[in-house]
Amino acid sequence: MNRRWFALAAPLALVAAVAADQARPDPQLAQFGNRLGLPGPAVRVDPRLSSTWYCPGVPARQSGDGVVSILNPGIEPVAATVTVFENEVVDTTSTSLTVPPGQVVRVDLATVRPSDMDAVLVEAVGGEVVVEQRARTTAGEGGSACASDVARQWFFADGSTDDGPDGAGASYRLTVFNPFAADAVVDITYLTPDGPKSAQDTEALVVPGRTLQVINLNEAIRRESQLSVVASTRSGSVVIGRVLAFDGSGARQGLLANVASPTLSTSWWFPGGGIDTGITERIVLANPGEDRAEVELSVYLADPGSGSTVPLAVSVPPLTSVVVDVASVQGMVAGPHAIGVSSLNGVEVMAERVVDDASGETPRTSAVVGAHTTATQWYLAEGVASSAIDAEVVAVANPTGSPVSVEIRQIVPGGASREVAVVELGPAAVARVPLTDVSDAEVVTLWVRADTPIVVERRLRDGVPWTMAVPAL
Amino acid sequence: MEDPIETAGIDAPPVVTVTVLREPSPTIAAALGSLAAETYPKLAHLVVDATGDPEVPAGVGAVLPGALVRPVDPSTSWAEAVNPVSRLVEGAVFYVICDDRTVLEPGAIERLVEEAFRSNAAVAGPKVVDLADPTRLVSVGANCDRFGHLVPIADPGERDQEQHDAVRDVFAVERGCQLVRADLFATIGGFDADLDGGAEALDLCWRAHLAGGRVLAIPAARARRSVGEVAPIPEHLRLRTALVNTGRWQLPRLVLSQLAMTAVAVVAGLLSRRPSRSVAAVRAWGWVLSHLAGVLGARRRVAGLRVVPDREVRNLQVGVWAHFATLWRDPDERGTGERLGSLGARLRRAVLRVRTGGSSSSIGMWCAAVVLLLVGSRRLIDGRLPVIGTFVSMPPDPDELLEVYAKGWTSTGFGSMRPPPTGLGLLGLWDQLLPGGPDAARLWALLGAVLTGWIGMWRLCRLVAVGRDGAVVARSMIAGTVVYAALPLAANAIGAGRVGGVVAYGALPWIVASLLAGSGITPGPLLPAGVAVARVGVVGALAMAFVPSFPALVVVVSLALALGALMGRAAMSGRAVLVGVAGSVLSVVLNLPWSWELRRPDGAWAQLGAVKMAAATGRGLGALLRFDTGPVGVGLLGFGALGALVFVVVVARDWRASVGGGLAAVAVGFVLVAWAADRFVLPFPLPAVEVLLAPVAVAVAAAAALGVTTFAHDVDGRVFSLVRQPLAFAAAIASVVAMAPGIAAVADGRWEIPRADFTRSLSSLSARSEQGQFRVLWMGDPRALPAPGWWLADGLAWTVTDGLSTPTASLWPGAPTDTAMRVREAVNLAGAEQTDRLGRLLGPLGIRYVIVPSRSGPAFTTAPTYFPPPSLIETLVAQLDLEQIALDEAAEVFENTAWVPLRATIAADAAVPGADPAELLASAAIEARAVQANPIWSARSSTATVPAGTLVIGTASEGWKVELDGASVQPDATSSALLGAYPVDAGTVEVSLPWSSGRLVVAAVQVLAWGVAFGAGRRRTVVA
Repeated sequence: MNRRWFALAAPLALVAAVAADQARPDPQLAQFGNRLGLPGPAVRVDPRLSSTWYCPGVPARQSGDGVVSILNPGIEPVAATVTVFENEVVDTTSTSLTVPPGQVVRVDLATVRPSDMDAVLVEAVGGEVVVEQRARTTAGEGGSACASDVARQWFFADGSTDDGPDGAGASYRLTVFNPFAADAVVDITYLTPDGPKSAQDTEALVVPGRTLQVINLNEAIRRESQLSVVASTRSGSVVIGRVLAFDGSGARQGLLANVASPTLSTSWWFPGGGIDTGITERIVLANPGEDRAEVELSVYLADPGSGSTVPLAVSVPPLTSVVVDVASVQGMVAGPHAIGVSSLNGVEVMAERVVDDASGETPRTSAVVGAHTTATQWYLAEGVASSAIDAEVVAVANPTGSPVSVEIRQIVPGGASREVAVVELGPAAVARVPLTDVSDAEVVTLWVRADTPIVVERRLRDGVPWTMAVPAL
Repeated sequence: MEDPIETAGIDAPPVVTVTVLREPSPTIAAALGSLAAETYPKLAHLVVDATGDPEVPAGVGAVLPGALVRPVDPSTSWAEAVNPVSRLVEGAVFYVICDDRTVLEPGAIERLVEEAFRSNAAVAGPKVVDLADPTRLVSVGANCDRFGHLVPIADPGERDQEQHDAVRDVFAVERGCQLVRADLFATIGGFDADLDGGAEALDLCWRAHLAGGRVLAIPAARARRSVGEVAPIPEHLRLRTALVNTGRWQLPRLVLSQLAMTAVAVVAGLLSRRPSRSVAAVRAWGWVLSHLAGVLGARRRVAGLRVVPDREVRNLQVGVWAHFATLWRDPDERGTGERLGSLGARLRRAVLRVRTGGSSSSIGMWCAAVVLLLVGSRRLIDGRLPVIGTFVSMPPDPDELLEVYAKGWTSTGFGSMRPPPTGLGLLGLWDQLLPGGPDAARLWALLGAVLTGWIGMWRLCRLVAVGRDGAVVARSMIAGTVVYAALPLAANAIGAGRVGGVVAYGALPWIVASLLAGSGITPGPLLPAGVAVARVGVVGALAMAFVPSFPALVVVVSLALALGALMGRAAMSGRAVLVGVAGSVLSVVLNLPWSWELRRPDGAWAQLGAVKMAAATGRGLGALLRFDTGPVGVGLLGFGALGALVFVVVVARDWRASVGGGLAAVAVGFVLVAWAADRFVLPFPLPAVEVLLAPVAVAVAAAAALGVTTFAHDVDGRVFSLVRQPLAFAAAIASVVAMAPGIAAVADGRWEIPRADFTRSLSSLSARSEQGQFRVLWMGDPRALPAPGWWLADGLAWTVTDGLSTPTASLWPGAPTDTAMRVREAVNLAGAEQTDRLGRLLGPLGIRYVIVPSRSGPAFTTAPTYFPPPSLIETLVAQLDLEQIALDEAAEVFENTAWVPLRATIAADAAVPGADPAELLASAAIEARAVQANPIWSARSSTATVPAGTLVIGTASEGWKVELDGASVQPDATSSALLGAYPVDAGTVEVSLPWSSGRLVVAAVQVLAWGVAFGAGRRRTVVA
């Protein structure tokens, strides 16, 4: 090339190259780990080195008041350390145990650390476990799966501090469990049908590291017959539960001892509902967001031949809660059914199902945090001896648009399982499976699996509230 | 002056003078006469006659009546002549020991005794002035370094202006006249019979210090002797003196350091063209080895005298640098008097050398460049160079690096006995030579590299600065050097904390110069291939010690130069490649055995490059062409520096075209490589961008020099052309304009490097070390870590530090050891939600804090931001035994509540688990069982009293030796979770990393290889 032309071309080529190289690669952060961030209690299906469960609080004054059940669904024994935290006491009590494969070990908290309220940290090494908490008081019996992770936000839709003129009625104690070494600062706000409320005592609440704090909501928010709770942390992460007792002086009687939901969702499922004579059912919707939620409530009857229902549209204003009587759904008939709640405009809400059963001698109330995830495998740790299972029921809902085959298996010692029942479900269908054929095992633990994602719930026996199963994800 | 003796009401203490006559000389009479003239009341004289002259006793009697004359054999040593005084004379309180060359001035003895009495001196000496010219000083005492090098307080021949007339503590006084307390003389056994030549006087004073005595120079007392009599202590006797008087714990360090000093002396002797010094340094060791029994015997005798700990004596000594300066001093200047004058002469010669073929502009350029460098670094010089990026810290003890290097210990991560990086030894040597402590050594290493680059560029430019008449064109050299200095590459490397960029900047001009001179592409005399290879090899080895990929860089540069040279002197291209390749191989060889570690497939890239990034940096081609790679901003003016390159490619003819083509090929090639690394995520990581751009900078600067030469050859005086003259004008303007941003960068005073590091903002963590020593695990973007790290994920690295202090060895991470892999495995387990007890997995490794920086420096600085992945923070937050601490917004800090202190004793009943994660997670934390956590030891030998239990030395057991009350203790193989666990009973534990003869041989061979290569590169023979 002629040098003269090169003298001209070189700078031009340089300018052109620089101008052409203006596009910048997208900034991309490093990828680390594979934390699923599972919302709510869940079991990981992949091989586990260890797992940790957090039970935020159950009464443990005397033997039988509070029990933590640890299920090892695997085929190898799992070593576990159970650390019990007492309300506002820094000192803890730990005990080590081994959970044999396919078995459940129950820890009676009163024998470990008797107190008014105990939170429990279960650390298992060598495999995955499932942990449930159950409580029993004079008001009744209740429980739920414990939390498999901590979170910075927690929600309860149902609740009441209406303790009546004589101090009877509802007794609402919120348990805030901080298992970490560092202090956590928690803000607790409240939603009612009339709008949000706040209490100075529960704003910027400091929960010291490795402690349990029990908050008496009857003192914080007085006489609210419908009270939703929204807890969020300014720093740290916690686990929140409730022990809500209704003594029967009001409309409800029973005990709710369950863990809050760490997430909001646009869809919720309740496989185990039903209405009948003396049995009322309500869905409590809480909307802690700034936008109005347009929600549709759908009822799927267990017996499709009994008719069909029309979805009920519900509008939930921001920062309020709304209670929907399921009986008001058009086409509703008595009997078991499943309920689906979905937000039509994408605004996430919290949903809880409340069932008041006054059909028996003793009225019972129950409240269940809905399932917002579906899975092909579910575990039910708690169970009862075969002599008392005549009323035990597993409810299975198929929220998908395709038929599903569901297999209910009993986990037996050693980690193997045996078939209890097989259910074929059509699209958007629900089934109730009474457990009448299980072994004589002291504890009956179940493993439900399906070929497409489903939702599973169980009622141990009459008078005992429904509890949601634990999905394996 | 008030007489303290009289004031105290006591009699004057008896004094005996001991005068040794060695050979007949005119000064004997004067010396003895001066003694006779002394008026001290209680004075007796002993004259030791070693002249062998039978007439001397009579002469002594005539000059010094009453003196006791003791004839001895002429071969009698100084000690044999003097030591019997304590047997021959009784009742003396002081001895005044003189030779026959020293003439005392009247009253000297009285003043010596007065001051010695007043100051309780054990040994004292007078001010000694020149016999012929009393206004010139000969000696006022001397300091001494730990190697036994005497450093005179006053230069022999220095004019006496009473500047040294204060009584002062010194380390030694010269042999010509010493006042010695008689009881101490007897206690320490007098002079060492095996010493002579002045070493016996130093030895006496050294042992006096060890016995707790003071040594004073008392200028009020004067003596005279000829300045020409001053002679240095023979090298072998100096070495023996140091070996004998150094304590047992310091002796290994002394031997090691002395070996290094010998290597330096050999090199210095070669460089200063005084090979006799090199020979003497080596022969001294031979002499010592042949007299080893005597040395050991003397050591045993000295051991019985010790009253003062060795470290206190060392505090009286000066640093080695004081002597090192004298290695470069011209012996011809001794005794000539004016210290400032001789310094001035050296400076003048240096300036003349700098001005080779040039004008006063050269001097001005160099002065301006150095001033700008100092001004631009003023805040670093005045403050502290922070530990940012790869600017790792250095230990406070200057011996430590050399010792661990010689012992073969690499403290990276959790420590290992892998061959230590050569750079560790080089830094240790640098730290030895440079006064001012570790921070000064770090800073001046960087600035020295920059200055070295400028000097190298000056030499490179000289190759192309050949005028039409064959004379050197100073303007070319100035132009090239100025452009190189003004390019912001080095400033950005310093500002970003990338030591590799600075090293490459300093080394590459020398490499390119050697390639050009060795290939014959340039018109000057052809450097023999062997010399060129040696030069490339040595410089490349120095650079490779800090930039492991440097040899590959050299090969590519040589290929590019050869490619460009095809435009002209094609025949010479092959030589460039040959020199480049062979020199690179030599670089690798000189870095053996450390370079052998690069063969590890899992560690090679960790050393050669950096942790692979998750995304391309995306600076853009424009920024790369302007060298805008760091905090020192460069505008569009920066493009101007490329003008000279275009000019030479277009206009240059003949050999200039070859060189210009080669430079252009280098520039284009490395810009493309840097651009590819900047624009894409390559499957393999490359060195820092400044390393890749250093060849471009060299090419651009050399092109500026070549441009001036080209102008003289191919433009000046030629007919006007639409290309030549306009392009020359444009290139000149562009080059000048391009310098502005680089020069403006000096305004900041710290090259935009953050003004502090995390050791400041997180200093409260260090304050917690009373609970035991600990490690810190750092995780985050590799650019935000305080040291090069290991790969955790693409764009995510980790490293561990001892406390907040970044070990020097972490500059060379190497392949992670098995212990290091435990950390990665543990973190990955937590990241996969396999555990919520990461602290329990990390605790046995002594990791107390986990820090995830989001910037390369504290929040209150201008450190750039490099966000870590949120999932990493979420993982750490979810750990039950990690407590988050808010200290600095630029770093998430977690305290591990399950940590086990390093160098601690665990209770004997503690069941220490194995290293398997499941076993560790299932075990209860063992941190509560640390019953003692105060012993501190490093790679040195140290002792501690410990209770019974499991002693944790906190590092891998390999290579370490643990003794309990003198008995060897074996490590507890079952306690594999802990690092170096030893079951011990209560007692005194000695932990040491013993010397390895094999390793010492390897180190010695390496030093020898460097010396040989260096010597080969110094040859100046040229091929016609």
